[in-house]
Amino acid sequence: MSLIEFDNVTFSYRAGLRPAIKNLSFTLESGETLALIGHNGSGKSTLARLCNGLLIPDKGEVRVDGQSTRGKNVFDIRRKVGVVFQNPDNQTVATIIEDDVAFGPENLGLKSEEIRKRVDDALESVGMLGYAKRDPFRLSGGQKQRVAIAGVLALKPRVMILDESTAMLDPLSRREVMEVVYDLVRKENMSLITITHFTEEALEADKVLVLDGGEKYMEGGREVFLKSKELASIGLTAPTAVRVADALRAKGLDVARDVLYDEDLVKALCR
Amino acid sequence: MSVTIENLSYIYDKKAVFKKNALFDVSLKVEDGDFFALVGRTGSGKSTLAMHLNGLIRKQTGVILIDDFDFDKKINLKALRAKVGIVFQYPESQLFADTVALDVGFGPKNLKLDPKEIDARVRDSIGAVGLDYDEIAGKSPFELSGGQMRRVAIAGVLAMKPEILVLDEPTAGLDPQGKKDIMELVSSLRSSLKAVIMISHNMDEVAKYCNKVALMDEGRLVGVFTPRQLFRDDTVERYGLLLPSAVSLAHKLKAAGVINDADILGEDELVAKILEAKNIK
Amino acid sequence: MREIALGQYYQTSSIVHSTDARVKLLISIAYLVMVFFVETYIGFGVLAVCFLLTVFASRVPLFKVLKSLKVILFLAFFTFLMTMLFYGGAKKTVVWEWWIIKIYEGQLYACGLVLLRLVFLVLGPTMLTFTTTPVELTDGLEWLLKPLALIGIPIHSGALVMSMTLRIIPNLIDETDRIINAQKSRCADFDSRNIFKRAKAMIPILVPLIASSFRKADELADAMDSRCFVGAKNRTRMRKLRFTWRDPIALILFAAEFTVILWLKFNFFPFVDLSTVGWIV
Repeated sequence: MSLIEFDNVTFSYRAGLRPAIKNLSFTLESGETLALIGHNGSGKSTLARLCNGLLIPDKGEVRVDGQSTRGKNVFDIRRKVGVVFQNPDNQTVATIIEDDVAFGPENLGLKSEEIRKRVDDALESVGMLGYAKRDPFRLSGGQKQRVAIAGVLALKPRVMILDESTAMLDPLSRREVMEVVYDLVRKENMSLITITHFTEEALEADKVLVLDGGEKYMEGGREVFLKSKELASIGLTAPTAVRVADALRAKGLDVARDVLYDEDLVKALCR
Repeated sequence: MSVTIENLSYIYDKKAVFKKNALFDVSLKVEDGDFFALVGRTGSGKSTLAMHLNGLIRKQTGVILIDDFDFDKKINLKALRAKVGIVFQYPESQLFADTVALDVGFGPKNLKLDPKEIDARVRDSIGAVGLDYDEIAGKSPFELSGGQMRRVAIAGVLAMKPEILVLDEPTAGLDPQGKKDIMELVSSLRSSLKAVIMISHNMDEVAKYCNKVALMDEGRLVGVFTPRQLFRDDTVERYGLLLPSAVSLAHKLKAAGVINDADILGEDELVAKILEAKNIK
Repeated sequence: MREIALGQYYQTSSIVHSTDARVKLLISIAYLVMVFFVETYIGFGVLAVCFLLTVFASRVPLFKVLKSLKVILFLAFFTFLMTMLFYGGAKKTVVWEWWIIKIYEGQLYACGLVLLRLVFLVLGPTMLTFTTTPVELTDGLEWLLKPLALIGIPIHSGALVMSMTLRIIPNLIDETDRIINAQKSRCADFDSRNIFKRAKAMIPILVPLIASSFRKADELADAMDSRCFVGAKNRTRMRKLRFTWRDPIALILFAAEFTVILWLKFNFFPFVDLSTVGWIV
């Protein structure tokens, strides 16, 4: 049984409108990381909201751990699927960081001591325990997103979805947040869906799903990023090393076909 | 019409312990024809500096010279703001009027221009940002796509016919194609402007489009460089920024001995350099 | 600008800070009632002594507390003027005289009492907000209002709404700042003397602000839903309010103060002859 399963899903925001997601099928296994890429308006954020039952498909079915999001147990599903959204300012509900992280467990109706433990653990994992009593408003964008991640972690989800969670951050904060995320995912054996248009972030995931106009455009492992022409045709960019390798090949230099990272290119050219 | 700043200092709250966004003794000069980048980590004072340029912030100490505006006396703010236009971060969030035409015409109307002139400017600036006037002018700005909204917001500033355009992270939040489109747009505007000043975190864009870069850190100016000078070594990384991706790759190739120097800005140059090292023409 | 919205909590650890918010709220309410029982200078003397002791115990600098009186300066002046104009008491001893204006001793005496009452009415709640965070206040209020939940009033939702409001206000202030700056850059005129023009000038600020608030609300609702929010009713709380040994002490001390005040007013211990201190009463 897959952790998340999209079975021929179609969804549109209003009847008659072009569907935001069209006939989409894919699966995410337990412990797997998936990068979801596509240009703005390709249906990426809709997909995130379909995963945890914020949106319900018009046709087809989304199943989390075997349960359809159409069912009555949407509460159960949201516990398993944690979503971190884009805007760091629009996700916190409390004026004290630890209260904000406690929001999820409080909704689950847990005992005070258990909530306390989960909050401390979650803040510890994202390296924000020292800020527990502060006001989230005064943090940097990257720190705010780490708090948002802690808020999701406190629910002990099985999969975390980052819905362009780094889009509004500066490059360094972006790195810092992604490092925290991948560390967590590996340590807790969580699954991850990262929705982004930053190639360097997507390159860390095991699997890649490319969306265009709400439909599946490409799917596969990291080798998807080798197809720079296909990516460019839908307004995405391949990693720098891939583009440079392509240009070198065009000029007649023999460069290995599987150059993906900077280090690959260095190795290929050293030979 | 150049912009000269000398020994400019500014502190928001003199009592505050953390002097975030403050400026200390900043001096720089932006000349006609410059596409001038302001870079530095968040809170380094870039926006504070930018907001001085059109009088949104009143200067505390130092000298600002723009055209014949005397920043030591009471200045005609309207005239200054018509000369120095600022496009803020996520400018689409400032749209308010019923139609695109009215929104773009807001600035000219505040300048008390006559209706004919306003109309002409609205047409020109909507065209200048690559949108179709006839198709879009009567629409509500809230019906447009995100990218279109941003263009309309930029048109709203262009309609004031500024001579200096200041942009605060114009490509923030856009996808790669959107980023490229906006940068091409800004670049195309250069011919009709005296100078463009851009705050950016994206060093790839700075390397590709700008001719000068001012690096700021904690309110101080580290220096003004050409992109080539600035990205030659790891200076930017020491100030919490990233190298342009092609330059970063070049540094790695140089360290491995594939190329002799990493003196490049873009991918094309890097490719040429590698081919040269491998003796391929 | 943000500081205003965040209240005036003074961060330090003191016995007053760590007293239970419910106890402090109850005392504050009773305090307001008590102030109305004080009708003599000796009564205010008692209040002043108790107040100073509280401030001392709270470790909040006295001048910070007294600064809060700034807000009632105008009201105080107005009160002074009114008592001067409409004083109806005994007009015996003239203290000061100029042209047709005469100030009587009784008048000053009465005015002083009114002003003191005003001052102490402000100082009480000020101490509460200086020593209690908005979150503690919300929690305390929620607990005190619990009985209302029995008759169907949604106390829990109210408390959550209040805490979220506190959370979002600084963001909205920031956003307003940004929009005002953007529109000012387009030469918007917010300083017109004409009231209609000024009201109209608010539109370019209000429309984007409302639009962004809706967007914020939408995103916040999604984020809350995603974190299993199903209504405020069945939630548990991490932080529990706990009475400690400090709380009965605070209550006892306050009760003592109240008793003294009531005694001064009603003289219900007739064996102590108040007239011995009559010179000050």
